[in-house]
Amino acid sequence: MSEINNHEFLNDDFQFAHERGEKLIDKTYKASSYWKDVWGNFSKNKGALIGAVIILIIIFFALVGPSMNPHTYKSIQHGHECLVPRIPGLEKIGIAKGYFKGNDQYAAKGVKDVYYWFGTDTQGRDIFTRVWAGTRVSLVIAFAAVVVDICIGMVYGLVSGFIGGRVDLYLQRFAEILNGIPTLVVVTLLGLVLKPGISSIVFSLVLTGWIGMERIARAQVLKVKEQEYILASTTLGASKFRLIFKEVLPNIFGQVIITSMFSIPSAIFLEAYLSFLGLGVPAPLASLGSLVSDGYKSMTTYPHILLIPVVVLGILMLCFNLFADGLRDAFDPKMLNK
Amino acid sequence: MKKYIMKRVLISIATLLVIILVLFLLMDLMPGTPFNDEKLTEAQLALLYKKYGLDKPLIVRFLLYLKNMLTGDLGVSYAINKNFAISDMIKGRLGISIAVGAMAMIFGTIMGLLLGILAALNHNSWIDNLCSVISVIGVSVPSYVCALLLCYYVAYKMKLLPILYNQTMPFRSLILPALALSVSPTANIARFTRSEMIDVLNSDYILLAQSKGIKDYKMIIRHALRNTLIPIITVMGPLLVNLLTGSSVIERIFGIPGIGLLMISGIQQNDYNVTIACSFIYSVMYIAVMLVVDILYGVIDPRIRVSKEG
Amino acid sequence: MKKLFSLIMVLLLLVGCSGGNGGNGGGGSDATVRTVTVQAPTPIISMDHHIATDGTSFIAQTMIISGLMELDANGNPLPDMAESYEMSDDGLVYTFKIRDDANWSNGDPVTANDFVYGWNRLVDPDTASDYSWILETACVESYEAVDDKTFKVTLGAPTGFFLALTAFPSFFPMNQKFVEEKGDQYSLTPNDLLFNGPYVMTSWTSGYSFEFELNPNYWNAAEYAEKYAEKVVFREITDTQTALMEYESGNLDNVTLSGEQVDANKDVAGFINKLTGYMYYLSINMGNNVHERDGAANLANANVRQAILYAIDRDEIARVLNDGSVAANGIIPIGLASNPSTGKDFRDDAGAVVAYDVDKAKEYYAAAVAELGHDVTFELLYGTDEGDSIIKAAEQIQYYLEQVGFTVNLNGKPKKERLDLAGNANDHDYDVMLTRWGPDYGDPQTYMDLFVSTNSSNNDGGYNSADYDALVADAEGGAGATDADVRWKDFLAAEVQLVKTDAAVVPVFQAGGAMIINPAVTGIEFHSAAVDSYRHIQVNR
Repeated sequence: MSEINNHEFLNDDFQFAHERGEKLIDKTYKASSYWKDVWGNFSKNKGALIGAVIILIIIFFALVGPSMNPHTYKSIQHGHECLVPRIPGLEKIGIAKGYFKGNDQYAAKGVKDVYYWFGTDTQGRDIFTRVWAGTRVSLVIAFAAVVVDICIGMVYGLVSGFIGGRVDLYLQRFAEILNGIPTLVVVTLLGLVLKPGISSIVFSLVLTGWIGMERIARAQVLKVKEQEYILASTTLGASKFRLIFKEVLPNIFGQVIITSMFSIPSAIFLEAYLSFLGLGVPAPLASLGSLVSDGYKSMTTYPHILLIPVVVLGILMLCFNLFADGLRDAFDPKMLNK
Repeated sequence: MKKYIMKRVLISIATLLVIILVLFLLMDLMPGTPFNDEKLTEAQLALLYKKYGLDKPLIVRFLLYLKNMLTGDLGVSYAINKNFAISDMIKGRLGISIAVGAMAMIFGTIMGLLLGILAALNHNSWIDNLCSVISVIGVSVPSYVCALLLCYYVAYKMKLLPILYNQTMPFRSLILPALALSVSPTANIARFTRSEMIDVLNSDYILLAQSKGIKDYKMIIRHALRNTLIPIITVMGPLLVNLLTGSSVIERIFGIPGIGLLMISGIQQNDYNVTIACSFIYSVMYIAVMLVVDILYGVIDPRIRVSKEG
Repeated sequence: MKKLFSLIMVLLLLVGCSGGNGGNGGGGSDATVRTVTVQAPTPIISMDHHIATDGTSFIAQTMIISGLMELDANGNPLPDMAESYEMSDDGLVYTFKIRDDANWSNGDPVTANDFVYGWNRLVDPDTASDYSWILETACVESYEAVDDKTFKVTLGAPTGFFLALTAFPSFFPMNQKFVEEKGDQYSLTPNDLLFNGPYVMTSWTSGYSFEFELNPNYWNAAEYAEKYAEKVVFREITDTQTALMEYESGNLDNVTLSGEQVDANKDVAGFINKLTGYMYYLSINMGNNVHERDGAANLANANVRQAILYAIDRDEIARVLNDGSVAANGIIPIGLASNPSTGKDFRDDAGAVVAYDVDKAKEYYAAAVAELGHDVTFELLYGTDEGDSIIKAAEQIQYYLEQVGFTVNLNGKPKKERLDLAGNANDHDYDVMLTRWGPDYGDPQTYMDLFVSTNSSNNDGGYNSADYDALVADAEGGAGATDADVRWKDFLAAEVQLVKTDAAVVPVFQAGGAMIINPAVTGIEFHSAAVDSYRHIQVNR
């Protein structure tokens, strides 16, 4: 600092720009819409694209998979219980040969020319069919969980946090009461009024699934609402609605997306618990959650029954997260300017 | 600030009263009775109802319950441990659940923060990707699967720790359950820390601090972490409550006499008093933690305090 | 931050230090080699033998309290508190002579009055015992203390199973002075219990364990000190997979296996398949249709029910369950009761009254469709929290029924809700329910009474058959009351009427329990129609 203070300007310290002989041309960017920018950013993100493609592949299997072989999710083959995966073609190179602990399980059961791509469960049902049928159910639940998170949780948190004061107080107490009662007590009671199935799952999510998101959205709002750009917008006469959804929302969207992605597995596992209460999808239809909790029982004996749904769920989650990361970066206004 | 806290505490107590009332209403709606058994006849059932005062109107039962609660009497169990005072049943179990939960929270917070910071500092590198994969796996693999894996390899194969909970060595036998429980908080906290940290690291004041020549680690701790903490505390609150009030699955796997299993059996067997007592503990913890979180906001971020008091 | 860091370091150090001396001692890690650690199937619900209703509580009670009789390994009564007994020629009056050296652990002698007090308390409405009806079922008309050591019981009809029933906890004696002194506190902790059995309860932590040690005041203490386990620890473990690891690590002396674990362990030393008395059957709602359910309306059709009866391959279901369960051949389980003359088991005498025959089932189904004019759809209600086997069985039953042409929708509900739906509280709001019944005593009557038209508590399906009612009435109050053979034949005929002729209930399987017991431990006795016994355990380590 002191060096600058002592410095005296000399005549040749500055020169006119046009005398430098440079041609200064304003770089003109093509006008592009917000959505085009979002897409541009998103498509540049390799991870997000891979995620999107794999999600599409999984959706494809969820739609087509259950009818790719003659089995149905509830058809039982007596005598074919607990078979490990065996895939034609791959078995020649030593993968998925149908060997369990060194023995050819298929030969032992006398079913040499039968192939179960993902094996069978303890009742002799084709896991391939059941996993994809289950994925179908779980995808619907995942979608519902995200919608509930965004439509109820995020909006509730935004309003509560931004308006503050008395409104915040009441909204927060209501959420506290709702969350202060353990979810299990609430959903157990739902069993009385609802018929088992997807709609009852969605309804339990609507009742209890959004509170985590609400807390996070509110906290984020509290963080940004004192920032200068909000003040600027307010002084310019922006309405509350505009402030919340146009100014605050884009700046907290990153966290919101991440949170909603993380609420997917808990929703999927909530469904498994709901089926236990007689509220989830009725047996013998499965979901990824119920396949995992079923598979757990044979984890130390026939691990493939657990492993396959866990892997499918893991890949699905990984891709959802890659995709969400891409979305977050694409939507983030700060990223757009870079 | 003092006035604000006082006001919040009073409101919280009122909220708790409402919750107890709602719980009573819900219990009344529950299907079946605590005495449901293939072998009971109608007349016996009526007798049991009378014996436990369940034939009285809801509001009378509610007021009686409140009155008894003030003297520390939470009623007796109808089904799980017949005629046991619930306060006695809960005493031993709560301590164990809190111990496991607190251990899990400590593991989870440490690992989560480390993973998150590591990922943020190496944004878009392979380290970042690895941390992301770890945390995604952490939320998609249920805790019971992790628990059994830990049990099998660490306890059964390597014999490093006991398989089941053991009263004679509580700390050692609670390490595995705590680890299994910490997987999900680790993942959650890691994801949050990463994403907050990236935001903060890109903000102007950090750039300023950097250009002033502050060393990296100092900058992270003094400037970035503090601003990252607010939203993380928001996630940590509910996670903590869930951990402290026990996880029935983990308790079942490790044979831990905790409060999570008690609550599940209470719900399943319609043991009203047990369910209400366990839910009440849950509610108290939840509301207390939320209160602390709200107050902490003010401590960590002075701007929020200003706006709240204003 | 610094504090947090040091906390972590301390924790890590603790873990590191204690990690070294890992490994766990064997089952006999306690000082004595005659300690046995067994898996408690479920928690104890109450130690008060008039309040408890579940197997584990009864097991614990038989450890510490002795009745007039106890059971041997085969379920036959042996004298315990009673030194001897006399039965009058008509089988109606039993006079028990109580041992002179039978004492409670507080020093009081066990007297006939303790039995009188205990039995009075059992039927006292204030006790609200779930088993208050059992004296009546055993046809007990009166009982009295002739003197301090003589207890006389008069029956209304000769009851073959009465003697064995005196080994059941409901019939145990109670020390009036002690019980009244403890009041509400009685039986809540080991200190609030009085013992006259071979063991005393030394600790009880709900959800964790309960422990017993030899009772020096037991009349047969000398033999126990010499032969039987000195300490029996029951450890509550619900998860079958960690329980098996614990067994294999040598910390447990027995372990119950799930169906999934049986294949890998059936050749292990000590593997057994015990049969329990629980009979799982389909209760068909054929007469109670207040709710005007479509399914229940169809089930009144005899051909529909016959189709269900023949459609189910019970052997395959038992094989898939793989947990030791066996196919049911009738509503009376194996090992419940034996022929009073020949000693043959009821099941052997009755043979199979059900069969699997797809073609026959399809014929019946076709006939039913012709009569009703439409295909048959109904709901199968089952319990979701009653074990994996039940869920599997429900799925298997659905599969078999759909092979014949039925459309079956599964309706899984938690047990309390299932019972609530099917019971009177909801006017029997169900079509078909997979349910179970465990015998209270070793006689077919415990099952047959369920389905008589006058039994409003248990006959959920509303079965109403004059023939069946007449057979059961004849067995219990008519000719059968005095002639055991007639009674036996009546029950045989009643089962055929109920299951084969009317297909009012469809037996599916008798539950089993696959288990590994450490070969060094003997004397855990399983009774399908009575309480399992852990009071004769011997250790040979």
